[in-house]
Amino acid sequence: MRRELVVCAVAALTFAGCEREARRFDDPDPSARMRPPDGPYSDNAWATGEGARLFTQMNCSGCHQHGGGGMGPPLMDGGWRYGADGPEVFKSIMDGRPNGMPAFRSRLSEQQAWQLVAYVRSLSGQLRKDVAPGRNDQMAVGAPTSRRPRLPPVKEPMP
Amino acid sequence: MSDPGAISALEPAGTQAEQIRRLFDGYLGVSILVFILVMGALVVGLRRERREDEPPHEESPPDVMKRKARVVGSATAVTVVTLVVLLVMSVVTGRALASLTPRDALAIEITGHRWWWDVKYPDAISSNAVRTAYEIHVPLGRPVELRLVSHDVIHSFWVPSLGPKRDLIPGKPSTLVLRADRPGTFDGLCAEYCGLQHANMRLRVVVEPEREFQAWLTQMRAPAREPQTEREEHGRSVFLAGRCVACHAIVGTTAFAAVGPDLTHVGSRSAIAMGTLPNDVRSIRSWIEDPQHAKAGVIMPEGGISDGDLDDLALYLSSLR
Amino acid sequence: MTAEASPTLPRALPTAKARRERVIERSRVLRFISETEHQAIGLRFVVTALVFFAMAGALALLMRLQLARPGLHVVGPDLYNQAFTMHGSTMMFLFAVPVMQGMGVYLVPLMIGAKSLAFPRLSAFAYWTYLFGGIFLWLSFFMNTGPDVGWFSYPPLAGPEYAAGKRADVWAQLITFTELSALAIAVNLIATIFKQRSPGMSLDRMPVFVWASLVTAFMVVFAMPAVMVASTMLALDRLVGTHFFNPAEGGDPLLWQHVFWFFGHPEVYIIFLPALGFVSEIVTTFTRRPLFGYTPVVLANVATAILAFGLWVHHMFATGIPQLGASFFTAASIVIAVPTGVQFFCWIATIWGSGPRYAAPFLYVLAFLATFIIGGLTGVMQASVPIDTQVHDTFFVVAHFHYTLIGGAVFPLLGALHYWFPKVTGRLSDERLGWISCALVFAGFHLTFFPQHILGLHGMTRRIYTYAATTGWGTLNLVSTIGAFLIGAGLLVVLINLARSYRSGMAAGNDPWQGPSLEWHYASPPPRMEERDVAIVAARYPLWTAPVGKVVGLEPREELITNVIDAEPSHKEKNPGPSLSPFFLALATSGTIIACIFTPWGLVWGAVVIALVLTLWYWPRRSEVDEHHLSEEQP
Repeated sequence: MRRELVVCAVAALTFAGCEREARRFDDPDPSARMRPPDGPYSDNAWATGEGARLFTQMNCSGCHQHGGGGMGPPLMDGGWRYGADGPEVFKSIMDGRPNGMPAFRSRLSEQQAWQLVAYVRSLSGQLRKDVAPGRNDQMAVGAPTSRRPRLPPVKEPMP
Repeated sequence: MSDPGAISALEPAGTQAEQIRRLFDGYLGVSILVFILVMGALVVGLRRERREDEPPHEESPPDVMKRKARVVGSATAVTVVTLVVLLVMSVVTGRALASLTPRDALAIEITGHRWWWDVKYPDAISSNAVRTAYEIHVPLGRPVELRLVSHDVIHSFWVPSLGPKRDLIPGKPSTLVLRADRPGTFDGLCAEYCGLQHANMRLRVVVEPEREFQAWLTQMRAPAREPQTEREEHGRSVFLAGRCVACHAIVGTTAFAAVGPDLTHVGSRSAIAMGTLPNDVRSIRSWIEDPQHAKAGVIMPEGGISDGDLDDLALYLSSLR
Repeated sequence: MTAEASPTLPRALPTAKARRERVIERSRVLRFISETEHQAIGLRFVVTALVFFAMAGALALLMRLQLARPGLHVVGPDLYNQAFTMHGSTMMFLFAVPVMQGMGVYLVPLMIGAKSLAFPRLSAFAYWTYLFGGIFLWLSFFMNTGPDVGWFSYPPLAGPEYAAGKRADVWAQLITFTELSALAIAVNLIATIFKQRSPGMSLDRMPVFVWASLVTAFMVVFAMPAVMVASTMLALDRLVGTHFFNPAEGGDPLLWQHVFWFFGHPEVYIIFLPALGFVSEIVTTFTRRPLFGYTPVVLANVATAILAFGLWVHHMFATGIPQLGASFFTAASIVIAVPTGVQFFCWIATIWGSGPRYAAPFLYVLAFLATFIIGGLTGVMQASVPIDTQVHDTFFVVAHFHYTLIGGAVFPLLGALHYWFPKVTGRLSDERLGWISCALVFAGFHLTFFPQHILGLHGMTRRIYTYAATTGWGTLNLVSTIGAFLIGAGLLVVLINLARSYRSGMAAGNDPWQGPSLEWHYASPPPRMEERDVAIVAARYPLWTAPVGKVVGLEPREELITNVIDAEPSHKEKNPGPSLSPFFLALATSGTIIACIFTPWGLVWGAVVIALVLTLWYWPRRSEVDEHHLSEEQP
């Protein structure tokens, strides 16, 4: 019995490490690895880091600031108008939403969108602490993402 | 692929590299001499027979010891003197290198990204400023002041034939002054490990006489060439409707993102993908279709474009000379 | 092993300790993990380090395969980046320093006539910590969490924004494991060398290897804390969001480089100086002559150690630091060639006209002399700022440091392994295989690394997983790869030689080489502490000059403590014997360190466990207190 437990523990650690560090440069169909309610990259630190990079490059901070919200709603709080699950955030990004969220389907690949999904969800602590990114190399806007507590998603009414 | 540029510190084409080469030759000469002398002494010493008056496990007789002490002492003194000479040579060369003043220098701003070089030729008149990537043209015989900035991690700008390398450190802009004294094409690399595609972060410097350089600059200042055929026209619309505009700019169109390399005159470069692929329609097409194939880990996503559209897009980009 | 009543004490000692030891004796596992004898610990360090050497060497062969031709796809960029990071980190932290320290742990007490190290349980703790750190690194590598940011881990690339996941944290904590281990051994060696030398072995009668170990231990004490500070700052940046290396918040990536290289440069001398000690010992024995210039050689070692701390900025010449400051470091980096040159001249003076015995150890010393000098000369080249701004971060540097590290440390180490093999195992190794392995390794080495000087000058930068065919680097790279496999073959011959000789070599006796120093006085293999005498010496080369005396009146587990300069007897101390505490403390420490990768609370909970284990370790035991009182009555 003890040997089986040890094997299980080692296997669990191994797979946890393996998925967190997997670097899938070429991932044409990420949703095939969907794990509801999170998304294919919710256990993948590298993809979440890529999402952080995309957040700046696609100028998401233009409306959402660094999660605090401005013209767009805050992303680092627990309130979600259209759902906090991976597929719902994915839909928000790709198809846009009322009140000004643009549709990025023509500008992002699916892999990039899922990476953004992972990052956006990490802002409110939905991702495991070892997967969420640390601080970035910009001016600090708050606690590093990986140090934020998990804020349980709450349905927010429409404005 | 066009002919490779020279990429050797031993074949200097610029004054900086030339002075360093001369210093290196001096050090090399001294080193060879030292090696021969020391190894020669070792070989001779090994072959010398043991003398009668030197029984095992005992110190040599006093006269032998005194002689050896004198030799070791002299060798040490000669070493010190030689090293001081080498030190002085180095300091002198360092000061000569630093004396290349940026007066009349052409200013070029280089920003290092993961894993490409963003090159800007600033100008007092902002519409004359040029932005390009990978291929830098410089005038022959005129000092060039490279203003080096990093966008993300530490990179290092290095063109061995022209001069020393300089690190691009985030938060620490720095300046490197070079002067090319021979025309030609010279290749360079990023010389500080910067991640997955560090190996393929190449650059090319084309040194040409002032007149040709100005002609190139004029060509680069012009907005993108208008499509001449229907297929090129279609290619441009594919560009503008797709993912490309999220990152790339083509001056003269509505694409002006600065996240990725500027493509206004991409057809005029000697290579694409930071020097890893030749600049022809087929390579452009396969690069856009699947960048990860040529450079695993690169930031550019796959094109997500249908085959027919890809052909036209490649044609259009190739036409942007 | 017995623990009877001592004949000199009026009454029998309480037997609780004896009972504990009998329990440990009965179980092989418990005996293994409670071992504190310096020979066993030293041997474990060396063998473990050689295993890591082989693993890092395998990675080197993988890299050479990938680079053999342009555009190969043996491994992709991600695995290649992990490969060179693992190769560098393993070689520097898990092989080079531990093997030198392990040789010191084994040889130094024998050479100075001590029965054990000053802190035997601390040395056991150092070994377990080192072993667990190495296992932790390689297990992480197999779980796709091996570091990929280079062995020097520069931020911002290794920082939280650009190094996603836990790979760089694994690197940072590996540092904690290995530097803790290195510090523990260094402290041990300093105390042992200063206070436990045989009566009569004044400082100027110490073997040169002991001097080298002493000086190196001091370097460790000053250098290792710097890298622990650096890795802690990096770990804090990544784990809790400090801004040490974040320019946007007032931090500086160059801070890392300064602190790391303040350690990194002395590190290579920490690896190199003990090897010079090996060379002095081997030259003395095989030329059958006292070392010429004992005092200059010792002073050269000390000077090198001190100067080594003033060179670190030469790793940063391309960062745009001001010229005047850089020139200072050029001067220092050039000056450090002088003490090494002095040692070279003294060795050649010793060899001159000696008609040496050309056995395997001496061959490796000759290989060292011919190889290291080239590394030293290219080092002087790189000391010059203008030259360095061309060759920095190219294969020229790779060639240089392999010439100095392999030529300057591994060749002497191979010589030392062959030299002391008879002492450790009691058997002689095969001479012919020794010659063959030396020739293969020497030829393979130069074939591998000499072309890399040329590659670097022709523009080939470091840490690249591939290169274009148009660069023209393909031919020399192929030659280099072939050479690498030759080195592998040579090392395989060494392994076969030593393994076979261990089984069935000729019996060696105490002193097969007629060496001068005290380790040859003892049996081969050396007896355990309880059966070992403390010698009395009257000369620098005790076995060559006069019969060696013996101290009487010491208990089996008693150490003789002598004073620092002249080694006059001072008092006696009791060796604690085998103990389980170091193993459990190492486990607790390892758990704490690994937990700190995932949460800062790991430090808190871990500290509680560590405090518990330390309490159990130091809990005063009746038998020890009674013994102590007795020894105070009768010192």
